Amino acid sequence: MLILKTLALEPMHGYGIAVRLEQMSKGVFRPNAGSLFMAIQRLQRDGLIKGEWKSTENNRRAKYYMLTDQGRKRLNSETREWGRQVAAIARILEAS
Amino acid sequence: MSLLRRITSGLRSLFRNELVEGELHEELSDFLEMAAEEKMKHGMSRKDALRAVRLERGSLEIAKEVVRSAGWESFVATCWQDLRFAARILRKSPGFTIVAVLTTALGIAANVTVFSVVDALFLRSVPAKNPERLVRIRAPENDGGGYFSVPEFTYLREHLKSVDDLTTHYSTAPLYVSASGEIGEVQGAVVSSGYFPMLGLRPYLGRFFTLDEDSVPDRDAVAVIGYGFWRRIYSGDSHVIGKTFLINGRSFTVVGIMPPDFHGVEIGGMPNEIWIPVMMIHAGYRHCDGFQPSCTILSLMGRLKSGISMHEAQAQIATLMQQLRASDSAFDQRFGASVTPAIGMSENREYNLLLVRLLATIAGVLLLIVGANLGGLLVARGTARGGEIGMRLALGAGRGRIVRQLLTESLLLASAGGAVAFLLSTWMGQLLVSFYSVDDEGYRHLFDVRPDATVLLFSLAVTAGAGGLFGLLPALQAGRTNLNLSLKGGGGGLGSSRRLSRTALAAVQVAFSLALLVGASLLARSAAFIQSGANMDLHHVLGLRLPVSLIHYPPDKAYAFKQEVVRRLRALPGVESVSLAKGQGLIWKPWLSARATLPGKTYTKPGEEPRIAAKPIAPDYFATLKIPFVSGRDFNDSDKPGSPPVTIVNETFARQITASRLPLGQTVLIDDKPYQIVGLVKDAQLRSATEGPLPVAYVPFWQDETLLEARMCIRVAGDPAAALPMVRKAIASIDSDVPVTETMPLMDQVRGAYTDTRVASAVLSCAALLALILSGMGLYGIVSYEVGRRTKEIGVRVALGAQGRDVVHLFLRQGFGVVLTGVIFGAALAFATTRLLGAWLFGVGSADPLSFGVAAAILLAVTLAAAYLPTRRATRVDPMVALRYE
Repeated sequence: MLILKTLALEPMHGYGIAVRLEQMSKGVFRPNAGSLFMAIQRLQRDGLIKGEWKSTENNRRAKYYMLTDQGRKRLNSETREWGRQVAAIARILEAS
Repeated sequence: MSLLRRITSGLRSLFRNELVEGELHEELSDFLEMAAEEKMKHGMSRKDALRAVRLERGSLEIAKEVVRSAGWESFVATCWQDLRFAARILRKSPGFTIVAVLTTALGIAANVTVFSVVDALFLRSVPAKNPERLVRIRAPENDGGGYFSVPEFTYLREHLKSVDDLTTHYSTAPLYVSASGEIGEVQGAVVSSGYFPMLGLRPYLGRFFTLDEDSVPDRDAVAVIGYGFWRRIYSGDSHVIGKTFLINGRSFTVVGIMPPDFHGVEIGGMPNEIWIPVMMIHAGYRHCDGFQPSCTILSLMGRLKSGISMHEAQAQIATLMQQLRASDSAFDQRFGASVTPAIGMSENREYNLLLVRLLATIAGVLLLIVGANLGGLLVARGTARGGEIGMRLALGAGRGRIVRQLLTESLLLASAGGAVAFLLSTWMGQLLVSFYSVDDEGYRHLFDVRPDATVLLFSLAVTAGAGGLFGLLPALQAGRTNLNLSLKGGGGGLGSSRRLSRTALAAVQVAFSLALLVGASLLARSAAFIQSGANMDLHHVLGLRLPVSLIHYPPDKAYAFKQEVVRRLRALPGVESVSLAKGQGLIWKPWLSARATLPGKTYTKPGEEPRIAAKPIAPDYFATLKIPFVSGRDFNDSDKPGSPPVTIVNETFARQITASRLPLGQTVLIDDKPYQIVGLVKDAQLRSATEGPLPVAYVPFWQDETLLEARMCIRVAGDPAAALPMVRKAIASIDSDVPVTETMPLMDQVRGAYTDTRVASAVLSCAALLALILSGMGLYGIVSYEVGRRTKEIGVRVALGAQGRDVVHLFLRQGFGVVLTGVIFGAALAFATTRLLGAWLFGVGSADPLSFGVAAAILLAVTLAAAYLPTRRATRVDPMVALRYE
């Protein structure tokens, strides 16, 4: 879900995703290469994102990933679901 | 969609490995490079930056490995890796591999063969283009033996609404044919016109029968001939349509030729070569008038209307039969009917099922033994490979991976075995049915056991099952390998559970082998008993049949003809005696069709009177078959029409009916007619362990002028088959039109009639031999492994003064323990199971002590010899070498 969120604004390459995740989480998440790319591969196989080779800002070839329509839908639904769960957990914690 | 993508993406990484790897490498190294550049911007040196990135984000190779293992293709890839490794390992020990593959192949082949027979006989539908909803309709067995008469069929065809295309066939009609100068017996079928369309057949040439040819008795003498017959008799001449030939003396016109691969609808039946319309049944059947309501010989088939259940059809037929009976009392009282899918053979189903079940059991037991044997071998290999497995565990292989690797190895072995087995089984299947290709009347039968998709599927399942069966235990044990002990090299501590399981496996093999051996020796004794005969000697006796009714001989002419035949044959050189008997085959089980009682004895209820077999025979019958007389006289020329009725009875008759040991002179009523007993003979009945002796009364053949058909038996000095041409010539010199059929030496008839016992005996003997060899190998393996393992100990013992004999005893005792356990369990197993063999046992009981003793002795001798061989190696252990080895 987090990767989907990072890609919601614009297509990005692997390192970009890692940096963005780190920035957005203010340093809480520092994914290592293995788990990041495994997650990317899974998302790709599920058809939620797609990748294509493009040149980067400093003229390197890199694979940019972008959300598919399906991915966007999934992001929305998962965000909603997550919100519901967090709210529920919060309510439980407050109740005690 | 997502599944498809997953598969294609997986396949891409499997087959375009380099490209995918390259992309992954580029992407990941870019990732790390960018991270490093980021760090360098903050002033780190390149080297430090790369190091920091690797620490933070993980190294390149590990990351690749993680990504790779995420997809399903990695599972396939490791399987492939395992498979190649397994192949390499197996190639390294060709001896083991060949033995393992061959034994597995034999075990699997036995099962596949039996299954292909089951498939061919019981699971395939009749040879129709569209067999769906085709059903067989049978009358109840208690009257009419499951068959219908022609009037019943026409009535049902008219009124039965739940079945489309109701057709009939009588598929076992031996026709005496004279065509193109060739004379001989050809298997034919009497069929209704709907038969061919129902099966979706198209004529190869010409046409099939029309409905009009199905309407008037004895009018349309037309015939469809088989492709083989056409090639053989007419050399494939396409102008044959419209030509005529003789069937049982009547001229028939050829109207069509059957396509090449069709031989009739009876699976395992006699292949049909001529088809004639049901209205010509007089030409095809001679034992009763085919158009009479009581002459029930027809089988019915049809296609169930859609939406109608077999039950509904059954009920409707039963009602119609009741109506028919109510309208005309000439029709038999019928009690319902049975409607079954037209799948598998229709005759003798239960009987054949019994034999097939026996064969399946043998094959299953054989596979178990093979499995136990291979399991034992693999456990031993697991022990030998303890070092290798320990090393792999130490290098980080998971135990699951080790188990998977070893299972892959056994599955590879099993697959190789399965492939060999599939080829082997087609040959074995042919061999098995070749025993049945000629029956006890000399007729050919057709069994198509070529494997189909079902058989292939079955062999795959058996192969996988077998691989799992013998591979799982050793693999699991290897997975439990104790790393420390195995790497230390001695390996002494890891053996105990393995040794136990190997010993248990060997004992299981011995037990099953004994059961097979006992069965084999029981059947071997039965087969020998059948050959030697029970109170009769059939060697040098030729049998044949003179069906004079086929050419419409009147009774008086038939009587004179047969007397002349006997007189002429007696005069032939080399012929010792000639006799004849009426009815069923000479060596068949007596048919209890008559009633017998003592005069003055009354029975209140019908059916209470004892049933016996009454067999009309000519003089010299007992001399020809060498059935010994107990007392009294044979029939002679004075027992002729008009003379007082006399009978010769067998001992069982005397015991059961007259309740006296010497009943000579007594009068008995046979079918309410008084006969005086003039002779007493021994029981001459080949009976299995499950059958009781049957009472037989022989009556003089020549006393009854109405008897037409007869089977002749001719005792000659030499080979009976060689005497046949001379006999044929002598008969032809009296009347060359009389068919001479079912000619065969009586020993061949015996072989044909008791094929089941011979087959069971042969199969069981082969299985037992294989089991014996495997048990021997298993035991050899165990003891030789023990000798190897305890070399050091032997060294110490010898150094301390033990003699060679003591050492041999040490190991033999162990081997003996295994064998004895196996023999005890095996004997119990055999005792519990040989009773199932009853129907195929002749002259021995199922608990025959001699067979048990012989089997146990053979097994003990072989296995102990196998155990002894490796112990000799133990005696040659040089204590110095053994101890220095440390």
